This record gives sequence, structure tokens and C-alpha cells, in this order.
Amino acid sequence: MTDVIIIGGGVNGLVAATWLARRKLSVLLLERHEVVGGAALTTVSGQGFHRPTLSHALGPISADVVRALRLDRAKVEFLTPDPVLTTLGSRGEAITFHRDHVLTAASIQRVSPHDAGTWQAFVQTMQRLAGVVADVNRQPAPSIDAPGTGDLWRLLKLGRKARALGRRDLSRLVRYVPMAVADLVSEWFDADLVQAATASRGVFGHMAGPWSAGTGALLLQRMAEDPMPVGGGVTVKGGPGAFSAALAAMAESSGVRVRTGARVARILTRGRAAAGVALDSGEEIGAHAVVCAVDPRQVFLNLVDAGDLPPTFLQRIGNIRARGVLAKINLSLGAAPEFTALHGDPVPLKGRMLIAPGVDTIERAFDAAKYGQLSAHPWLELAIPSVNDPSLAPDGQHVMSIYLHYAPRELRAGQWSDLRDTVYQRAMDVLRPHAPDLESLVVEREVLTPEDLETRWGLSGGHIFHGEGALDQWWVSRPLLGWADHSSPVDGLFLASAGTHGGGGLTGQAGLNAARAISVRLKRARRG
Amino acid sequence: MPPHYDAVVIGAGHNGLTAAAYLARAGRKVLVVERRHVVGGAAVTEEIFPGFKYSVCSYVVSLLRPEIIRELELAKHGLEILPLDGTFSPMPGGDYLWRTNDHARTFRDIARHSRLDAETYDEYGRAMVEMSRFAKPILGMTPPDPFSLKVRELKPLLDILNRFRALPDQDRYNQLQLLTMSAVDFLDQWFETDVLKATMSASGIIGTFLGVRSPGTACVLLHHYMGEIDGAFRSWGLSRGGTGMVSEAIASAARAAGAEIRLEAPVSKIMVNDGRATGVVLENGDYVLANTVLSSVDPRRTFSKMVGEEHLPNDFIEDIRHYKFRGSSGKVNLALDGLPDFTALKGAGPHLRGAISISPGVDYMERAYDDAKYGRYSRRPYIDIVIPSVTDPSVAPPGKHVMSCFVQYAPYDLREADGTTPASWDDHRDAFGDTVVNTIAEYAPNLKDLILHRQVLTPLDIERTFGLSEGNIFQGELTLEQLFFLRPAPGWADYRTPIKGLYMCGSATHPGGGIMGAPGRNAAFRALKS
Repeated sequence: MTDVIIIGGGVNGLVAATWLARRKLSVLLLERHEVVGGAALTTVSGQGFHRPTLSHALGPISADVVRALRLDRAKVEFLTPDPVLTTLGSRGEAITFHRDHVLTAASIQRVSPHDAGTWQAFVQTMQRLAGVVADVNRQPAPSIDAPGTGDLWRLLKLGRKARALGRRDLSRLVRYVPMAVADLVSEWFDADLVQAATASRGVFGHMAGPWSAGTGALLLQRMAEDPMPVGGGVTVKGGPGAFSAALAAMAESSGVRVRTGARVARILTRGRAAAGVALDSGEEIGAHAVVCAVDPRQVFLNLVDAGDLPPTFLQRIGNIRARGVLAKINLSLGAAPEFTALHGDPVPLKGRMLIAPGVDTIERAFDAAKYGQLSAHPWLELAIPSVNDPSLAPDGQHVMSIYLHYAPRELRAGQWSDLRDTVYQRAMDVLRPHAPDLESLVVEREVLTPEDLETRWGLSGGHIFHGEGALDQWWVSRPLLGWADHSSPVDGLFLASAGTHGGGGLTGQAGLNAARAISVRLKRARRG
Repeated sequence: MPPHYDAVVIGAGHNGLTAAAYLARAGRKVLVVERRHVVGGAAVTEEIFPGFKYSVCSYVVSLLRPEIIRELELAKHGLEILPLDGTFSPMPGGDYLWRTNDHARTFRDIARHSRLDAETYDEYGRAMVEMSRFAKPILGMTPPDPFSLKVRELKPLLDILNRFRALPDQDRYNQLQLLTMSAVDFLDQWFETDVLKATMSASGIIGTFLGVRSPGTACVLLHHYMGEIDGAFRSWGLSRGGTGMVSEAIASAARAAGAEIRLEAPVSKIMVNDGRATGVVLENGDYVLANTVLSSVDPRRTFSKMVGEEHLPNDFIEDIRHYKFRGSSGKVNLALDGLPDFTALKGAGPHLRGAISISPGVDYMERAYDDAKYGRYSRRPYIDIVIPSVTDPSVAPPGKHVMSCFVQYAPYDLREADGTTPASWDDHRDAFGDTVVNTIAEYAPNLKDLILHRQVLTPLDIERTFGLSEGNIFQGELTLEQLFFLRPAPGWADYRTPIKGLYMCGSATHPGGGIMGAPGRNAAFRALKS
């Protein structure tokens, strides 16, 4: 019998599987699609374009995961674009963000000398604060009821790290966490364009606008994963799918058996303990432990028999807020598009482009989502990965990947399946003033709605992070207070997805955190 | 030789007066200096229109600390709190929701909308009372300074954490949600009736620049329940003679203890010598010397205007600049020839004795907020109406009434219709007043014919009249980053300031706004300790 079954071949599932297999456990990974990858996928179109299906960038993969898995030995070539992002204003102005603060400041200077002056201090301050958040993310969440010596020791270390921040930064950290990200960035920047570029990171993927309280914490969370305040857009040669393939190859060489096209219908239990899984096909596979690297809501609302769970637990799982707001547009382009604001400069196209000219623009787009409507004037982040990696498209041609906010999963009227063209048109309406020739270059197009994210990729509510990053759904209470240690009320059933401590964003951290916690548990169980 | 006092208190609002009363009772020689011709600050009754006593600004007594009522013997000094029972929410279709202290009545009325909600309502109330029990002791605390990282300062927080850990599992779950969620998200887990959720969520947004769907608004839901556990029945209510009588009673207690109160004595400067406050300079040029100065006015006025930034450390100046006011509410006071007749529930019934809430739905509330975000006052605002003359005939001539309408949202930074050009409230005051009256008239069509006099207070008027920066009724937003040990600035939440001998004692300190009196009392004790 298999020691461990991992459900879900996304980045977290692959990381957890590899780590456990290297600890001499027999591991079987089940993925319902024909290829592993979860949100890190590449679609190859009929005309030979390799498009990032969902995410066009990695988190990036956390340094902790790189170290723990010796990812440096994997056959992966990371691409770290520079510049990372260009944001386009409504009056033809543009700011390009580089990895180098000085270059960024020079670009900001043209729009706001004041903001150019505060940029470096902002980045450095936020990075210091985010460093503490990153520590929190990679350590086991302490137990509330019975903190062990390990918990106390880690809390003490965390306390010392926080203390090292000093009085000023510490008070900033405490203030920023519950704040609206719009307020946070306005303490540093005057120019709407700069404010919006930084604030957009705090609402990315969440049912929140820049004026929503608590989005300050989300910005810190993003920066804990990726020190670039506007996002670094790290990807790999060959696209996200190539990364997943490399992870899978590494998993298999570590002894993991990977089965694709294997959709789990039910988690089997004996007594109150996990005993294996039943597939859609009816096949049953036994295991000592089952690790779910899929959305916690899917696990408990669809895969586990309700009778095996305490009613309060089930009710709270049902209350986890996961309201997806993201739509995805993938384009194959006959040539590189021209952005008027760039005046023919090809360099910015290496990084991503942001069309969110002001904080109010983002907030107004969000207003629609509150009432269950697609934003009339959405804000967009797009990447043209074929600029850095020409292998993704036929000669001289390109692929473009667009994230569109806000596309709320729950519509008050109509159905997502009828809205694909509308989503595309809304995006084009926003892009047309900036890139007039874009539409004429489109060879192929694909629109993924939040409904697709839910039905095809199993993301509850279409939420890309498996649940809002609100303070009551973070750290010791992700997914629920008392269950942040990756365990569940069913013995031998564990959680390892973005919806658990360590969080989402294609960092692999949640998968690693889970694997560490699980191996301790399994060893203990074996001894006992 | 200018007069010399042990303590001078700037501002005769209810908090300033409370601080003065406690200091005087401790044997200190105290002077209160007030800019206006009346005591009370925002807790004031004024006869703006002959025969009609308006509770001009603050209109209900909420959470006035029972220990203050007891210790200052406010009943003896004329305070009488009358019940304000129930909340009546008329709806556009002619229906309504009416909740009162009468349990069976409320059950029946909610059940008309949803049987399930009626049954949950009690359970919800019990859960909230439990939550309040946890949160209430924090109100009376002098906030520690966790940023000092001293064990002595961290211990009170550890105690709170341990109390949290000791809570039953369900309470912990609720508490965590309350702290972070939006009022609507929280209520969605309990109820299904739109008007019920809308009316309940309204308490979460009062005095903030947040909407009912904004995270962080759930915690204010507790406010209403905290009153109930004080054991002091009627801790939510109307003060007989208008809200100003609360201030008058505290002023009387302060005077009885020996404090002097000087009216029409605006302060221009707080004198600082060698990092220490030595007294105040009045606008008329008079000096008042004092060992201790307590300011009940907001931090911007206190520090930027009265102290002067040259006396303050840079970090502190930055924190005070970041302190958010953003007034979001207005007030319309009406003198009426008779009682409004609500289409949803005709006649002068007991539903007019409580609060009347124009909050017919969650979307209605949220859209009201959307307007404000872009610098418009709500075209269809949330209005909390009280007709105190129904309960307390002394505030209006026989047969006539005063009606107090609290309105949200009215953003201090008003913009023209284009969303960018700054606009002046002076040009929009009447239109704002019309909007409020028209909105109410949709539910009570006879209202317009009854109006004898109308007073419209925009956030700008609130700033001008009461000296509240940006018209914020709580001297600064009650949002998480401005509460407890962060109010008004990190490291300075214990009522002290970077200026020795200068203390803050107004709503800009913990536990914040509302007619609680706790900041004044806590600050007085802190000053006495030094």
C-alpha cells in the first residue's frame, strides 16, 4: 500500500510530493488533468504558440523551496525580466519599473520628482517589513491551544526579528497591516500613476479595491513572496508549463509516481481516518495518508463525506471567503504590438505592462464587482513572454497574456459562458488607446472566466489564492483557526494547497510547509 | 502676574469636562478654557430656532461609562437618560422592519421577513454579548506601548491574548471574524433579510470613511451590545433637555469640585519651554500658566496649530500628518409643526420613539458610500433619525417637534460632478439639505409641509463650529490602524505626548469617539499619576 497519496499536481502538490518521497515515503500523485501544473501551465495552440494558460509569472518560487528541494539542480532556466513593469497613464505618460531603484526613480522623475525621491525609501522600508511576513510564512503556524516548545521558540525568534526592525518600522508594520493600500501608498507617493501601480499589487486576485481595509497586509504579503513592489514577473524558459514539467520530472526521479487523468471522486475513510481515495472511474486506491493539494473548500465540501466531519468545522469551511475576481485572456499575435507611450522603445516590452492609471480607476472597477457585475472599465496587467523567450512563438510573432480585474465569479445577471466576448471587448476597449494596432494583430484568442477557473481548475469561487487573504483567513487561521498545521479532523488527511498556511501565489511554500508538518506526523504515527 | 493653575484643560467638550472634574476632585486647581459661548463641544444643546432645542451635533448618549455617572454623581447634577427604544426601518415598497426591546414583538416582526432570521436573532444577540464581554475591559485600559518592546508594556497585550485563548472555540472564531471582516460579510453568515443586515451594518460605518462592505467595519457592531452588559439599563438613550445636558451635568460636577470654566476663551498657543508645557496663550493675548495642560481638541489642532512643529520630533510630526480625519457625515436638524407620518406605518405610534433608520438595503448603503469615495455626497444617503421631542417634550413647544437627522455620506473633500475639481460645501449646503429632506419624504410624504426651520451641518460646518478637523465627529477615523495603542500615534497612546506636561484627553485618544467620557477619565488618571 502507498504511504501517501497527493491529490492535485499543482506546484504545491509537486513540491510536497517530492519532499515526502525524498523522506523514504512511497508517494502517488494524482492529477485530474492530462498534464500536471495546476495554475502553472502552458497551452500550445494549433498554430504553434505557447501561451501561459493561467499564471504568466511564478511567485517566484520561495528561496526556502529552492533550497529544500535543491531546485538549482533541476532543469529549469528562470527568466528574471528587467525592466519588470511599465505602467501606462491616461495622458500618454509611462513609468518603467526596473530592478534597479535608481533607474526606476529616474523614470518616476518625469511624472513626479517627489515620488522619485521617496521610491527607494519606500522599497527598502517595505522590504524590511515584508521580511518579517516572509518569516511568518515559512515557519509552522503556532498552535493556539497548546503551543509547544517549538512554537514558543519560533515565536521568540520572530519576536527578535520584529524587534530588530526597531521602533519606527515595527509601528509601521502594525499600522500597515489593517490599512487600505490606497492610504498606505499615499503616505509615500503623490502621483496617481505611482500610487495605482503599487496599490494594484495589494488587490491583485482579491475581492477588494484599493480603498478596502486590510489590503495593506496583502501588499506586504505579495512583497514577502516577491521583493519587487510592483511584482518581478519571474518565469521560466518555455513558460510556466515547462516549470511544472521540470518539477514533475524531479518528483519522479525522487520516486514519486505521477498519474495524470486521474480524477478523485471521494476520499475514503476507515473509522475517522483517511484510508485512500476513490477515482471517478470507480477504482479505489489505499494509502496511509492523503494529502490534498487542492482548494480546502473542494476537499471538505466535495471529496470528504460530510458524516466524517464535525458540523461546526464544515460550516466554517463553507464560510471561507473565496470570491474570485480575475479573468484571463490569452492572445497569439502576428507581430509585436506597439504601445504609443513607448515611442518605439522595445525595452519595456520585456517586462509586464500595467493599465491602471489611477487609484480611483481601480476602485471604480471594483465597485462593479460589489454588485456582481463585470467592470465596465477594467484594469489590466499583461505580459508578452515571447519577448524574452522567442521559443514561445513562431518567428517574429508573439504571445500575450492578460489578467483582467474585476470579473466577479458570482454574477447578478447573466452567465459567464455568455460573456467571453464581452470580457475580450472590455479589455480591448482599455487597450485600444494605448496600443491601437493590437486588435489587428490577434491571430488566436482565448478567454478564461472565473467560472472556468472554478470548473476546470477546481478553484472554489474561481479564487486564484484559494481564499481571500483577509486577516481572519491568514497564518494561524488559514484555512481555519486551530487547523493551520495542515491537518484536518480526519486522521491522516492533510492539506497542502494555497488555501493553507504559506499561502498562494505559485511560491511552493504552502506545499513545503505541509510536507514538513506531515512527515513529522507520519513519523510520529509510525512510532506510535 | 498671569494666573497659575495646576492644570488647564483646552476645550469644554464632554471629555475635557470629564478630565477637569476628575482633576478637580483630586484637589487640583483646574481651569477649562472653551472657544465657544457654551460648554459641550459636540455634545451640545442649542436653541437655534426659538422654542426648539436642537441636539446640534451628537444626538444619542452611547456608552457613557457607568463609573463616570456614578463617580461624578451626574444624576445629582441633572443628568437624566431617557430610553430610546427600537429601530424602525421603513422600506421603499411600503414595508418596514421594526426592532424593539420587546422580545416577542421583535421576533414577530423579523419573522414577517424571515422565520429563520427571527430565530437566529436571539442567538446572534447572545453571541455578541459574549464578544462584548471580551472586548469591554479594553475600553477602560490605558493602552500599552508595544513598540517599546518592554516586558511591562507587552504584558497587557499578552493578557489579552491569553484571555482570547481561554475563550470557547466558537467565541474565538467569532472574535477573529469581528476584528477583520466587513459588517455585511459578518452578518451574511447569520441573516438573510436585506433590510435587517443593512440597518444593523449601519452602526459599523458611523463616523468612518468606510462602507458596510469594507473590511474592519464588523467590530463596531459590538458597540451596540456593549451598552447592554454595563448593567446600566438605558445606557443608550436620550439626555433629557438634549445632549447638551450631559455636558452641563459634567460641567456642574466639575464646578462643584472647584474647577473654573472660562467660555469664549479660544486658545492660540500652548506654551512650551524646554520641551515642557507651561500653560496656554489665549487669542485675546491672556496668558494662563499651568503645570499641566490637557488638550481635548484633536491632534492636528493641538500639535500643528497650538504647539507648533518646531517643538516636536520628526517621527511624531509624520504620524500626526498621517492621522486620518476624513469627515464623512453631516447633520440636518429640523423644527417640525407636527409628527412625520410614515407610509409604511401610519400614525404617531411608538415606532417614532426610537431611531428611524433609512437603510432599506445593503446595496443602498454601499452605493451611498460609492458616491462619497469620489467626492460626492450620497444622492441617496443613509439617515439615522431621532425625534427626541416625542420622548422629551421639553425640547419643543407643545405639539411641535424637533427631528435630528444624522446623514452619511457627506465627504469633507467635496468634488464637482467631474470627480476631480474641488467643490465648496458652501455652494452645496442647501442642495445637500434638500437631498436629505427629499429622501426622508419618500418614506414620510408629509414631512416637507411640517418643516418650520432647517439647520444643515456639512462636514465643513462641523469643522468651523466645533473645531473638529475635517468635520470628523470622532476626532479621527475609528479604523483599526487608528485604535488602541495606535491612537492617536504609535507610542503615544497613553495620553502623554512628546511635550512633558501636555496630555491628550479627547476622542482622538483611546477608546475613541462617542459620548463615552472614557478618554477624559483615563487621561486625568494618567496626568495625576505623573
